[in-house]
Amino acid sequence: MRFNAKSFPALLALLVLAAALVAGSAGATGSKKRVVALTPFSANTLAGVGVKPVAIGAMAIGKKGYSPRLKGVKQLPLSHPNGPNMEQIAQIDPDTVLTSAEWRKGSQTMRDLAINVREMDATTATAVPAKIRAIGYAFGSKKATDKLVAQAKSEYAFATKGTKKSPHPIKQRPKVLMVLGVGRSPYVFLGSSWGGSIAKAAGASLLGGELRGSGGFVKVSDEYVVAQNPDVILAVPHGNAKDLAAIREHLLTNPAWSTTNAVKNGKVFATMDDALLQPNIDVGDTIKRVRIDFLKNW
Amino acid sequence: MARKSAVVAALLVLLVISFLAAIGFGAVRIPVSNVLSALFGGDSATAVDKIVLDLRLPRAVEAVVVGAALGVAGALLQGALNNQLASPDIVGVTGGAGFGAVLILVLFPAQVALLPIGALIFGLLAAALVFAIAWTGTSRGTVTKLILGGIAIGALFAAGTTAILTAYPDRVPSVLFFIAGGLTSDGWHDLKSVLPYFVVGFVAAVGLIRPLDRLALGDEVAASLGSRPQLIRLAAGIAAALLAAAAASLAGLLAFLGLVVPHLVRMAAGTSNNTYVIPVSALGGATLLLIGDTIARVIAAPTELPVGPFMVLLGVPMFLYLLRKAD
Repeated sequence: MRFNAKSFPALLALLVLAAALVAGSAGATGSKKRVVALTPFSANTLAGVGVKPVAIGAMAIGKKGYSPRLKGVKQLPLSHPNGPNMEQIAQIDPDTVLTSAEWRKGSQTMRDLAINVREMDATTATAVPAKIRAIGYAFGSKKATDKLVAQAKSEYAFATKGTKKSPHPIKQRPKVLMVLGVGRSPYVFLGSSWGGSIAKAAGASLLGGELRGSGGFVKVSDEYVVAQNPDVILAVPHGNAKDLAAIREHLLTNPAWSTTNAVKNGKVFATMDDALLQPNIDVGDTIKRVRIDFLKNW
Repeated sequence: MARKSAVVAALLVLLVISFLAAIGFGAVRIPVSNVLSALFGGDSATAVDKIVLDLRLPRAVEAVVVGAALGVAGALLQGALNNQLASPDIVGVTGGAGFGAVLILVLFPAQVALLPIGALIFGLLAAALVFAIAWTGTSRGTVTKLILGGIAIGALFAAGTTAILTAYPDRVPSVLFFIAGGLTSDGWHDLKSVLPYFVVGFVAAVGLIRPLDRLALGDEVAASLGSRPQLIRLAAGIAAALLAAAAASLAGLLAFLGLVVPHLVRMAAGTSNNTYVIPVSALGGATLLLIGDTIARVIAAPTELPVGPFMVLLGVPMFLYLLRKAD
């Protein structure tokens, strides 16, 4: 290719245009918000709307609950009471940290470091679309957000009803006792908890639904369990996945519960699945798995 | 005299070294030159400045103040009650502060900023109840009545704490750190909010040094010298309660420090004179907590561990060594 005097102005214009594009692109990058997402819900929502957080919280579940799009993103170990290490947060110097109520103790310190701190996680299954929309509109594009919201709604509808061609309406509503941890006296999930709302959406008639407890869990007596006679008992313990079989065995052989339909029919399950404790955006998938694996009403 | 001076000199050197270590080490590695430039020329503009000035420095100062307060509180109570087992637990402060903190953390998690004030108020309330029990009815103002009242009120608040934790099992993890005892990187605001209580407590402690030395001669001798033993005990108890409650509001339940530090000072220096033990307990408590907190912050970084277990690990071997050597 040859250059002559006539082509010089055109070349110059091309260079100016390229420089303008590069400058514009750099400006756009510079104006992007640096967001740290401490929860799987906020991190996966950001990934879903095309925003890559500068760091995410390292959950006990590891990378299992995170979108593949978050591969390579720095993970911050979380521990009580503050959540992330404040020195690491200061070093990352984000504009915004999306956190949860669990790590509220550290929020004030982050605000003192001139960081915007927000709690935007869904706490029940039905709140997922609205919370995705709130995060998406705040940090991502409207178009990508609307698409992700529509997807979440569609998956929720499919998990609870199926489709016209492949309908899976909820016909059976077994009485379900959801137990947190394993102990002599059970703490049961209320409908206001994340796991309780998932079970209800899956068709469970959740035992303890009439009880009150602001924390989402309430302690009940063995007499209550026997009187309510659950069809399914689902234990969601904190602990090691290797212990699942032993936990199930412990529940099955609990003499106080031996008269319940759940024990008599062998419908006692233990799940280490974090999906029933930790809000996430794949709520439709979680509901479907609960229906298939535990409630047997798919 | 030389032994006492050596203990003070050693503690001062240790305090300076541990303070520098607390500023220099953390989850983020920062070169010494950057730490120094942040300390002496920083304006909180860069990330390094923020880490050093807004996180490490206030935390180190907090450790010094809390450690000193617990050391002084223990020394005051042991001197006033003439009881080697006295600690902030005795006047109910620990149980009350624990209840106040759990109340905020579990029932009002959205108001977590009120945690220091909640712990402080209930710590002082518990102490007030103990003093009210001890200074009313028959045998008022006796050491036995104060100790028994403290045990009863402490048990009452401990039961309240357990009841709350039982009712809200999912929120227990957020409370464990406080119960185990640990400082957090909260900047200056928590320290500022309870600083007046520390100041009043320290000033009262200074004023009580000579009366406590007279009290050490026995109630009758002290009375013959013009002192009022019961009033001295009450004042020492209130000052100790202020210091211990303010300390608990920032660092959780670290009462062990208040029990052990005055003993360490007495055994190391070979004197029980309050003029020496009270101020040097401040120095010893500050040094011990600063070392423990730096270890707790760094050993599993970036995860921070509660400092309480480290205090026990540091304090018990020293305590047992001196106990073996003591007469």
